[in-house]
Amino acid sequence: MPSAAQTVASLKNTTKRYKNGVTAVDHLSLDLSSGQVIALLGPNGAGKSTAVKLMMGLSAPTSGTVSIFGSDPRNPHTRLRTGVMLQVGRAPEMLRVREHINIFRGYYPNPTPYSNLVKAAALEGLEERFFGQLSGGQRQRVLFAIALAGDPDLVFLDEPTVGLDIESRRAMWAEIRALAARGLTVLLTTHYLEEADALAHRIIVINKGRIICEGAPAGVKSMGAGYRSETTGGFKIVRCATTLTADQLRAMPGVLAVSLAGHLTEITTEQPEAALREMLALDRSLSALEVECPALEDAFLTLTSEN
Amino acid sequence: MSTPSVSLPIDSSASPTSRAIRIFLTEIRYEVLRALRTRAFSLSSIGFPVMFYCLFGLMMNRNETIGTVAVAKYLLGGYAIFGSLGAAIFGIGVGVALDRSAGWLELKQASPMPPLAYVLSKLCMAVAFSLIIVSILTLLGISIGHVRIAPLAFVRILAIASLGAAPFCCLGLAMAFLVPPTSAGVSPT
Repeated sequence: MPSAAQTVASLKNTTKRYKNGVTAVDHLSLDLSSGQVIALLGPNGAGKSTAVKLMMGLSAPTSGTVSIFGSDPRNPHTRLRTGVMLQVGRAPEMLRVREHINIFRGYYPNPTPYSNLVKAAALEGLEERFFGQLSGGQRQRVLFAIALAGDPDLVFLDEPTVGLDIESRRAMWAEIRALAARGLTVLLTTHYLEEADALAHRIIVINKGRIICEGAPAGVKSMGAGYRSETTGGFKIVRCATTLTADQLRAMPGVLAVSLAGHLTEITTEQPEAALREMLALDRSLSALEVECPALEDAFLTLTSEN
Repeated sequence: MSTPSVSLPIDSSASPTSRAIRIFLTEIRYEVLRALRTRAFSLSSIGFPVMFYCLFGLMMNRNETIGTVAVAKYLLGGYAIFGSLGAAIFGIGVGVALDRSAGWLELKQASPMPPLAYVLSKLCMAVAFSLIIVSILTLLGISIGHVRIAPLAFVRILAIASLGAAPFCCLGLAMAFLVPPTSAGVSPT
């Protein structure tokens, strides 16, 4: 397969429905290309972790296929080439950091040298501590070291920087960039647009288990800047004091959302000029008019809340 | 509990079988070590059978017999099994349920660790605790309760206690997977 060298992991039309009726992943298709950092961006409950668990073979898809290195993710040989950092609430607390890392290194035939892992996860000086004595951020760093223990070709990082202070977060970002520079494929889930923007070659925005948009960070950002992108139109936020009702405003061209902020009405529209022309014609008392490009976070919020 | 620093010899040229054996041994060693270091667990699972045996077998019911067997000897066997049951149910049942609810078990599953290594390490932990408990009880019985046990009989008790730990381990595992985890499984993220 010539494409196998390019695509290291893929979900094809995958759906995951839990027994309680929640559809966590809904006909999701995505491909991870070799050597890229891909960010799966979405709010809490968007299905990011479920997507990671499907790719790790930890849960079986309700329908659709999952393939990692061209085979089933549950294949032991596949597991030797992947590393994963999950959101873990508690690890055995009475084992030392050094022991945890070495236990995981032992699972692989060619593990990453111990000293490299300690350095990569900035665990110098903590090696003899018990896991139970570590702070949240330090625990996160141990889990990061564990993910890299087997010198993997593909790493899944599920919310890697949760609970880290700014300094440790930047340090981990630098490490993730270094991984990509060494040719690893990294799938990263996050709910910080800033993090996705700083690290990823490609951002996939998902919500409620569906892809909302995807592209290079510049492309996803451009949606916020008001330019048209491949999948979704650019939009702007119009703020004004108006007597028009929300229903009237929703009927206007390109309006995606209407909300009240104090005495001001906030309208998100894909066609600001056309919408404004109508609004001005209908409401002569309209005042305090402002039109702005949504900030990155706003763009992300709008994208994920409107779909 | 301090342990000598043991470095894991990791040899990339090792055959898959010897690597698998090493994974099993490592997993077992650290599981036993972890359980011993967890004082709340190790003190209670060893302490309770010892305390009960001292109370009911050695202090009360002195010079009494059940059938033809002295109470001190009879209860030695009883509390040995009680001890291995406690270690298996609390060590494995609660331990695995916690690992499962915290997502640690998933991380282990996602790694290339053979799943059997995890189960076997828990089993060996329970067996190790059973052996410790039987040895302490026997020592107490011989020295305080004047129980006479032939070396072969002692070996037999050790063997029964370690074999007996297996069904209790299965019970513990079944409990861990039947009881829904408290925190995980609800949120789909």
